[in-house]
Amino acid sequence: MSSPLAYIGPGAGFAFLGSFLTIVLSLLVSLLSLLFWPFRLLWSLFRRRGQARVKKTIFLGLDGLDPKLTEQWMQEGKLPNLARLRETGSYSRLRTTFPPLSPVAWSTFATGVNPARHNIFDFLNRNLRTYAPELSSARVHPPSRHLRIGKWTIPISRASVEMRRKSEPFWKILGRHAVSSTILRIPITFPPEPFRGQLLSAMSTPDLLGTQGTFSRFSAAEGNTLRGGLPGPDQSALPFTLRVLSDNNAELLIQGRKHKLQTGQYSPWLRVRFPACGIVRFLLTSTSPEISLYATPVQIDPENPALPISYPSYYAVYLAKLLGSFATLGMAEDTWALNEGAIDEDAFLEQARTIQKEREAMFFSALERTSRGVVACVFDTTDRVQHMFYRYLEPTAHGAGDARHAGVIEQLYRDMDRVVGETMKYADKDTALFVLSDHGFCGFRRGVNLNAWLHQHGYLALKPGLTEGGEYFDGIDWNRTRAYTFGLSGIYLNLSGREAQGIVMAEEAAALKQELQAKLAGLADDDGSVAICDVYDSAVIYNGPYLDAAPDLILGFAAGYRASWGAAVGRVTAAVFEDNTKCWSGDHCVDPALVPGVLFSNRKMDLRNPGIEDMAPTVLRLFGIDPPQWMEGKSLWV
Amino acid sequence: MGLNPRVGLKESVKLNKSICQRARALVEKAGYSSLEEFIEHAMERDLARLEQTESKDALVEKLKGLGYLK
Amino acid sequence: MPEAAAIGFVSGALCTLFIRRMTNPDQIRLALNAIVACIFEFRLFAGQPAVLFKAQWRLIQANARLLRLLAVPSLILLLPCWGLLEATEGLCGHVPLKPGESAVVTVPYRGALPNARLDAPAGFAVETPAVRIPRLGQISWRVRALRPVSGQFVVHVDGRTLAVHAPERQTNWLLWFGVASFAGAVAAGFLNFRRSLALVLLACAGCARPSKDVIVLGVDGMDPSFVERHWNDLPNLRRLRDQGSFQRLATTIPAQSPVAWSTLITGLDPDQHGIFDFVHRDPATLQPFSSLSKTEDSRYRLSLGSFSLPLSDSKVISLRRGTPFWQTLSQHGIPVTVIRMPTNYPPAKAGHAISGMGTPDLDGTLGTFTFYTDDAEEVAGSVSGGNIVKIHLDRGHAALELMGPPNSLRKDHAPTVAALQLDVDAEHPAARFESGDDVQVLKEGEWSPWIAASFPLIPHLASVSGTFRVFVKQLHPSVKIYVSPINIDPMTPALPVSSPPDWSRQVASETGRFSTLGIPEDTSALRQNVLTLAEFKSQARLVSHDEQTLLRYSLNHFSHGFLFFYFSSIDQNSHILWGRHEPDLLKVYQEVDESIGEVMKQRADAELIVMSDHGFSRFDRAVHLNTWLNHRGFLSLSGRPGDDTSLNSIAWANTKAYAVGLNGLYLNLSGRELHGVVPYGQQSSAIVDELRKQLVAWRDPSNGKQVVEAVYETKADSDNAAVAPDLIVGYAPGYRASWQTALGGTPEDEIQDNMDDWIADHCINPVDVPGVLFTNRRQSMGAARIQDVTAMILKLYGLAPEPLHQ
Repeated sequence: MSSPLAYIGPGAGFAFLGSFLTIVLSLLVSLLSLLFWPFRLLWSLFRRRGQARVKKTIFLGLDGLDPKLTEQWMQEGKLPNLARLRETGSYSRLRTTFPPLSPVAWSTFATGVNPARHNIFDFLNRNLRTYAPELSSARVHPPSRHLRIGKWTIPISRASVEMRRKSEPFWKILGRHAVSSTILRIPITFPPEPFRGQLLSAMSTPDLLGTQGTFSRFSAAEGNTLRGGLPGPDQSALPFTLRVLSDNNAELLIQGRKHKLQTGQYSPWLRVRFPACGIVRFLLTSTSPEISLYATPVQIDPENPALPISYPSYYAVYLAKLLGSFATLGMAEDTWALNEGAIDEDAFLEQARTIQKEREAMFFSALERTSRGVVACVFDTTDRVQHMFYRYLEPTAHGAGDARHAGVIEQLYRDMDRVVGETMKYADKDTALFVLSDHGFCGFRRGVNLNAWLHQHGYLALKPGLTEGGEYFDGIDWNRTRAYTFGLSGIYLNLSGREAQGIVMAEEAAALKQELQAKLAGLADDDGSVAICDVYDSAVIYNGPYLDAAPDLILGFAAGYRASWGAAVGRVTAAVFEDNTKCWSGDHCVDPALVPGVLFSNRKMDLRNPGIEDMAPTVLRLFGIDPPQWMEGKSLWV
Repeated sequence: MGLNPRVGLKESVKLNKSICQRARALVEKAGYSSLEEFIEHAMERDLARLEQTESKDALVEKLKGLGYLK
Repeated sequence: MPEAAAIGFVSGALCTLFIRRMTNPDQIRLALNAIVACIFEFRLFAGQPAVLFKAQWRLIQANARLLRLLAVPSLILLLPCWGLLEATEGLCGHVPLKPGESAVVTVPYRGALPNARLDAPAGFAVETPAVRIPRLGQISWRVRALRPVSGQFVVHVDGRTLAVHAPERQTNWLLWFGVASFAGAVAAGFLNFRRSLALVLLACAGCARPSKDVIVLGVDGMDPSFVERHWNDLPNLRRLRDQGSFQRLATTIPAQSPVAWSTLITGLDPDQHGIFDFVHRDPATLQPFSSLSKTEDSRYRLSLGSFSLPLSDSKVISLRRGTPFWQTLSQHGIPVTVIRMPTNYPPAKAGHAISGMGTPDLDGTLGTFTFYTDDAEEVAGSVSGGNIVKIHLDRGHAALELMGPPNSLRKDHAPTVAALQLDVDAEHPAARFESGDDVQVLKEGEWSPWIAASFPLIPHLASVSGTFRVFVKQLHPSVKIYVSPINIDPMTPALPVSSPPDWSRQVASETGRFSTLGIPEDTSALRQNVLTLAEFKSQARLVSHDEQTLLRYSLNHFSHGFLFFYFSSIDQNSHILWGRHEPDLLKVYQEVDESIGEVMKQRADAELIVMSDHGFSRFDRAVHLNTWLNHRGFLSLSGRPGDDTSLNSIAWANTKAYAVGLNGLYLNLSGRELHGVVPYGQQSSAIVDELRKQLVAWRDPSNGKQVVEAVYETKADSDNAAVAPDLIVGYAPGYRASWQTALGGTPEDEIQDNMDDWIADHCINPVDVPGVLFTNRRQSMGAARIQDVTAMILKLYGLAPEPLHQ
């Protein structure tokens, strides 16, 4: 009879043996990598051309960090780490893109070119053939081949996801020169592309339903049981039952597991299978008089991704195993739910806090494990929270709000300052640290529907009998429309030869643009305040092959103004100006000169009018690589 | 969501050398990062004319949740 | 072991469920996640050793955490699991011996040679007296289980009493237990998940095309006249004749087994398949060689000290041309099984086959026995077919050196040796043999089962395995131990004895070891008086028994297609018994008849063909053909004639013809032979005519009988022309070429009486020794030759024989 220790029990035994085996295997792997390390080092040294000035570069992106607020609070001593960074290194405001939107600005950050060279001009673009809206950054092609059996259609080829941001991000170029990068949640990185390093996708990563974040709300008017179905892909639904146990206490039964919920407290990330794997959090918003339950959008489970959300594909799995589940949705914080009133501000802040913690864990774990190369991470909590809580700095038509949240934004900036402080611990003399934001912020009090203005001034026609147009150009008569607006950035000419039903001839275009520029620049609100500071010709401010996708005229709204909610989706309203009554009270889709970002660096640099397009060439230069000809930015490091 | 698609796959084609040389001379000046990007863009432009697009409703569904727009 | 499996499955499932209950699944998942994360880090941060080491450390910590989580439930399970394993081992670990199985019981003793007695429990028989081994202080008996029973043996040693547990067989219970408990753990793991693992095992249901089943039984040397004399004693053959057909089967020219079987195998004449005799000669060197196969040593070798290691495989090549008919069958998708087909060494790669006649022993010969004795009257040395070795017993013990093959890995090709430990009891007629782990206790007059021995080539690294039988001829007053030729071990064949190469192992695992030697009956030992006739017959019976075991295996595993089975017993026994011991020979025929009956019963649905390659005739007078040639002026010697002469003794310049082999007569053709003098053409034809005339006119001076009935000319294909004899001599019944003639010798007399134990043969005029052909379907064939049988077999499957390629 062999030794009893050989048999501890099959379950335990296998974990024991399994981990024993992995210990042995991993010892072997690290031994081998140790053996090969000198060769790889020599090889990578050989491949690195030129003089590298740094060993490591850290990009800490704080989406939407406003320079006015930052400067003010640094002055007041509320942001000690940023102040120290400015003192020991350098600080400047950072010129942003036309338009100053996150997808556009971060794409320029990554590629070092203007939008006409990377093809991202807005969140949405219109399809030139059908005028239908499209997500500008990624396209999911459904499987092309299907097997039809009765009433079922089964896809038998794969869905394909296409990255629509063009040009080449700096981390790919660095990779070719043997410098590896860890890119965490930089917007417009879905789907992930192979390069030397690891990457976690961000903005435009869809939820499990394929949308950009569809939350669910369930309620039952009476009784103490709520039954519902959590929506899943392909019109499926996962049934669940919620039983109220006592006041503010309930039990959720979903997919064979029970979870206890308390009013106002989020459940942890729960894993669900449709059979596609997803994660979701529930929030019990009330138990009486009616039961109401909120569910975050069901997101791609990082431990078992249904779509590629990282490079290498197992990087997301690794992060999830190391740090626990995290939100994978591009726009993770559920601003739509707050706008609709499905959750209150406290619940929203709680979401933001959790996501912030998840992001910090990822970021610092990467910093700990990186001794050379690039670590870049973007925190978008600053952007989301400022959007929803800006009215506490500048009151809007929405109302005074909860006095408890008056200092939310200040607290937010202080929190980010703490993050900066912790990051600075990882920046030694061989490290270049950059803290930057892609744009600033201002209030959003009045919405401007330029389709209404174009309609009123005869540039846009509706189908006979209509006084207003519906969403996504519903009702517009293209044959008599010369210009239209859609999205947040500008006006499009209905150009013949470009738009499918275009009527403006190429010769007329320039004149028409000048005409509109003249009329719209300085457009005044009903009460006389200037709504539009300036109107820019895209042919002048852009330079690149993707101009066709750009609006012909980029609008520079004044602070407090923005394309209205209706204008953004292509509606034609009766009135041009309207109050913004939503919770979403801050924005930055205005004239870029009004909302620059910030740039801090731990190195003394001569920062004269730096722009966000300069970051890519700078990091290349820091590693001793000449930026390619097509990169327009200029390195800040000489 | 269907099958898990793969990322970054490339296909190899052989192209007429003189056309490529003509293209290479102009590509960087035009703002492309590489010859491949230029060719892909040229192909996409023509494909957009010829391809079937998704229904508008399906597209709108996909855009749901984009905080800026709702 | 189904009980062990059942217990294992249940215990595996219960343990898993217990651990799941006792542990927090979330914590386990977290611990496992941490482990997986560390493993991912090895891949992600492969270029940074510092990170890797930290990850290593974290991995160890994570493992420790996991172990801690599992520690408590595991420790709780420890004791019951251990108890369970012990209990299962007790329940299933050992089973009593099967009836008929034997085992060795050994007990220790101290001091002087004791008197020992073994009392067996009911159900066991003690078969041998005690073997007391003073050098080890042990006593051994052999016992045999009559019924599956376990109990206690009581040993009385000089008044003391010991109780010994009855021997039992160990089972592989642990394997069953382990696999089943894993399955149980998996099942328990998945019980909570709604996923059901649908394991669909697609039994590859043969998909064998419904093809004809044909069984061919090849009985070497079955004589039609003998069968006709004993129909009443051979009931199955008689039934076969009545229900089907019986006729004589014309054999080949010459009527030798390798020639005839080669014709059956290829469907070709000797002129085309190139086998004309047992012994051919190489015209370029004038040396005789075995006609059937040759070994090609590997070309490239690596020299390491005293070793020379081959860098490529050495090959054994068959010298027969033509395509074996079963290869044609196999190519058309018909499953074929060919058991011990003669001259199929190395076996053709088609279907399943075990090689037969022509398979050498491990030493590379056609069977070399060893006879160990300490009898002063015996002389050590090598004799025809074996070696006699003198041994010396020390307190009853001797280490018998088994001669293995020459060590091909050594430069000096020193012979390999394995030891067989012999311990003879001081008084009792019993002895104990040990070869490696194999222990046998034998009485005087007993044959051992097949024993394995391992011959080292490179100590501890490379060895070859052989198998042999031991016959204890005598133990007191002197030791006489016969060890059979060392056969290639079918369990681990050093040379290819089966197709596919591992099939022999599969067969031997089920049937036990069997003889792989081409001709297993040791007639040489009989003729050297090492074995008496009775002892030879007992060995022949063992060979028969092996044959029947193989036949039973073939019938049990033969489902569809073609089956060939070969019986050697009639031929080998006929050589020894024909003409003078007919009742003994009849017993051999009857055994074969019984086996045929078994086949008829089990596979009545199949087409059955029973055939033999030749008949038999007495061998009274041995003809020294070279002497006759010498006296007639066809051959000239450089020296005196005698028994020690060979081809080397011939003076070629004056030789026109010479004989090698049992029927071959060669012209000393110039341009072909090394020292050829006869030009091809008119002169050679004239010599042929002359030889034929004179041979046929030859009369035996002692009784006036005709010595040679006919002389046949060969018309060999160009490929075979070099080795083919020019003339085949057809001796009259009673006459045969002498052994000396086979090797090209020239003794003094032309004809001599045959005083050998080998009293019958068939290498005479083929028309006098036809074989038999039985079929179980009525048919009338005209005169049938062996090639016609081949064509018949192929025609049953709608195929034709393969033409010889250009």
